[in-house]
Amino acid sequence: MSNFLQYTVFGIMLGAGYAIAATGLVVTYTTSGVFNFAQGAVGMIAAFCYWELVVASGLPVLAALAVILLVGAPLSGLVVERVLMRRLHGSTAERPVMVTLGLTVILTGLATIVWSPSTQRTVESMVSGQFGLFGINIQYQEVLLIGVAAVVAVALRILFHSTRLGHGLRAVTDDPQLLAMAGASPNRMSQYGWMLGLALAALSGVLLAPTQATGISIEAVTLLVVNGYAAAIVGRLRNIPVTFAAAIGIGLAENYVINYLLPHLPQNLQPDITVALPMVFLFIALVTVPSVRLRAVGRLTTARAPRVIGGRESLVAGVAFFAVAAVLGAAFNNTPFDGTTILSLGGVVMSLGIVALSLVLVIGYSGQITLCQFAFMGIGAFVMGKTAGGGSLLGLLAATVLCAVVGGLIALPTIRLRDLYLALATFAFADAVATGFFPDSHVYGSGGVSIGRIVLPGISFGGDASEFLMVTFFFVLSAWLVLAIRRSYFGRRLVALNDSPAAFATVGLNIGATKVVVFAVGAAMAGLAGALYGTVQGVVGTTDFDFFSGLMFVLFVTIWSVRTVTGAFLAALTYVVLNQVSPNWVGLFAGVGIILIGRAANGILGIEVLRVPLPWTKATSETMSGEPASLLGVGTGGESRAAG
Amino acid sequence: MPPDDAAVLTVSEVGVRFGGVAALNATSLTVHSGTVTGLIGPNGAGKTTLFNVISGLQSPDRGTVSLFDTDVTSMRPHLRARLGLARTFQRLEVFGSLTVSENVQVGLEASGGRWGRIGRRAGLGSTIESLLDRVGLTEAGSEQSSNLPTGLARMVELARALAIGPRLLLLDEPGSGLDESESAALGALLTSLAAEGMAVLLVEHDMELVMRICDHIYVLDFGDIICSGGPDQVKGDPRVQAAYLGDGAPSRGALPRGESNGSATPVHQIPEPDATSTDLGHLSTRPEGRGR
Ligand SMILES: Nc1ncnc2c1ncn2[C@@H]1O[C@H](COP(=O)(O)OP(=O)(O)OP(=O)(O)O)[C@@H](O)[C@H]1O
Ligand SMILES: [Mg+2]
Repeated sequence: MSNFLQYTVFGIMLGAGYAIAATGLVVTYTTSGVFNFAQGAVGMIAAFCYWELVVASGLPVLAALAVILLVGAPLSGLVVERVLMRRLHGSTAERPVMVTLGLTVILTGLATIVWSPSTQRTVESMVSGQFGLFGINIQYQEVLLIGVAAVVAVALRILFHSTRLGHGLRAVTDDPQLLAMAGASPNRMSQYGWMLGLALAALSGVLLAPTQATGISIEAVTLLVVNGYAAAIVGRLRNIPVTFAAAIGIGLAENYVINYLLPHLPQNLQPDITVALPMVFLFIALVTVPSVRLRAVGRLTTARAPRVIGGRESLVAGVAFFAVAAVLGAAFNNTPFDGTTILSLGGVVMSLGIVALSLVLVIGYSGQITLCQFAFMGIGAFVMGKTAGGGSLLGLLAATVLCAVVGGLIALPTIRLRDLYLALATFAFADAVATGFFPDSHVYGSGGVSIGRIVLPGISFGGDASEFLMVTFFFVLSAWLVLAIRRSYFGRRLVALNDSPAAFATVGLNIGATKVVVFAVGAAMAGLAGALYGTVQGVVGTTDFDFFSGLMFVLFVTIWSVRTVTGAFLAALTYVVLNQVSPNWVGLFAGVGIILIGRAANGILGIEVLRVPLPWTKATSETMSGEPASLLGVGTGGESRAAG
Repeated sequence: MPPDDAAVLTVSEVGVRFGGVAALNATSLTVHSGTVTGLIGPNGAGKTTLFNVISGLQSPDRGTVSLFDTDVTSMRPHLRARLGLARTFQRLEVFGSLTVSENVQVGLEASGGRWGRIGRRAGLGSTIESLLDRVGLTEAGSEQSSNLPTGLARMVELARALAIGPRLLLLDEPGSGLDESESAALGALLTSLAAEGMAVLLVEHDMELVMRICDHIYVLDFGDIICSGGPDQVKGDPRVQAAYLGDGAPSRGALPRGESNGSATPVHQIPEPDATSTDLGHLSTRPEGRGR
């Protein structure tokens, strides 16, 4: 019984920590319409800054708290809003997701550089001591955390419902134009929202840090705060009291599962389940909370759509691409480079290129935000390694088919989810697979799985160049396929779904079926890419399909242009090259990139001045003027729409 | 209204609430094939909400909707469309990154079923062309549809709706953004559609157009049908005048209702709300500054 009480108190305390982070999410979302995926990373940075100031520099606790919560976090919120978020309001759904995800990977990357993970850092309780109650020991720190959370909840409630500022803040997502008419500035409100939201993230990070008995780790603290995401979803991203209650519930559920359920499960599964738990909660929250209705929102694509590549052009470009690859293959056969070989790096580029192409299909064309392609890749490589002893064409097939099935199954419960919610569901799935499934000793474990090279009867792919060319062949094939899909009936459907789900449904098209199919095809491509990646690398392990790397890669594709095949290739190329040079360059590219995402709807390749008209490019609608001739015989007045 | 005409749409006692606001109270109406039926009412009356209920984008709190003698109250939107229902939107919902012809093509392919498109591929181009001709978009086929001005984008929606070969067509303010001669052309088109046997339900603020082409008119105010009948009957009804002039009726939320200066403007001379209203629905049809 006293154990139960002890778990309950600890659960409530954790829940209180999540609640603070979650209410921060709600505040930013209601004021700016952006779900801040970086909430966890900001909490993590705050926790490490706190350690730096208090433990390393010996500053008094209160001074450190003041610096972090009253200066650092609000200032960061100001900068983030001004530099990254301001132009995102009302844009396509994937851009705000990418920007805040980018912030996450950049902040975790920076933290790794500043605070080397090899050092152990423990943060002591802000208030020491404990007292006994009903036979259990309660730490003052626990009381503090619960008390602070309660104060935050009450204060926010008062702020939002009883002050003028609060009404302004709440009005922004409801209708920014309405707010603007009432004389308040949506930008100002969104700025306050970000300052407050990040301060709450920092507060939760600082308060949760002492609960990490073995010291704070970058990944653990970041993901700890992620528990708040599920709570915010239960609160439908707007209801603070419900969010708060849900956070407490999650804290309790987590503790009960760990202490009561886990000991009955197989020993080797226990750590996997523990780390995957937050994501499991998030996934459950997403698929059970009533969905947001399909609504006619009147959102318009103002950006120019990329040109649709014709059949002959894509064939010619594909053959030319392969020819260039063949020449390079012959020139660099078995050339060692930096501990590997040039062509093996080239093979990695091509296999990641296929993943990027799957993103073009799923995000670029159909507008379904998926963040779990690396998880499919890892599953594909694993299947490849385990089928027919690895290195067989059968393995490629098995990887592709199995991933298609898994992709379809993931899509099923998430069919009714739109935009952000789908992004969150795939985010949860990706992390659960990367941290809970891959590290399992039956999967990759710590040693990894050896895949082996593909051997065809008569033809050997053992050599460097032939291996590279095989992967290149599959890349070209995938690129051709993606472009062919775009030209087809199904491709038009995907783009239509992206542009207007309401119109899509009311012309008689089935949204759910379309989503399942596009998800399955995308997953199949990622699975194939994973299998090919495996044959290039020989041995692959958990780190190859790391969660954060997966996010970084989606970010790269978005930065280059998630709607074009060229963008997919350039993303894979720069990602591999920069990673080879130094991970810091990857971070730098991403950092500049997320600033750019807010300013160029279609990524780098969408920027007009960078567009080079190719000699064989026919004039299409995109090169025509935006102003059509008057069509009903009379001038169209001043209503004409500025293009992109 | 000839009583022998089959009712293609029957809305009965439909109620919808948004939080505390009742957008529709026990609203009932009937639409017959071969007619143009008008649905008018001040801003915020619930017209768009009723369209959403009919097309399945909004489920009603109570009441039923039946289309072509089938109860569709809980049927999903795409299945209703397959029964022969098409609509356009007040806030534009064109497939902006597709060209004008592709918008129409998606509609044709959607109605052709999975394999139907193969059979009609040969005639596809000419079918698209004739549909574009019909709405006056003859030369705009290859234009990216988000580049079109509002009024023409509405015509793209209309052509796309016609492409699915509907028996019942719901039009939500198709005339806004069109000039005089364009809306005259629209009126002629709707009349000819009705003559071909289609049922048209038209929401429109251009009273002149409504009075000219509608066979039957329903007037909605605060979620209630306050009056219905032929154009002359509706024009003369004092309740309609009162609803439009807002004689002291409480204003709803932050959305001002039409004109409320109390002057005795006859119904058919009520100014285009586009010009005076601050309704967000109208603002949203001007994309400048949105979605950047
Ligand atoms: N999704 C929604 N959430 C909350 N309230 C809504 C929603 N949609 C409509 N309303 C409210 O329901 C009422 C009816 O709105 P509706 O858009 O149906 O009016 P309308 O007759 O189409 O007006 P207009 O002529 O301006 O287009 C209004 O008070 C509106 O504010
Ligand atoms: Mg309306």
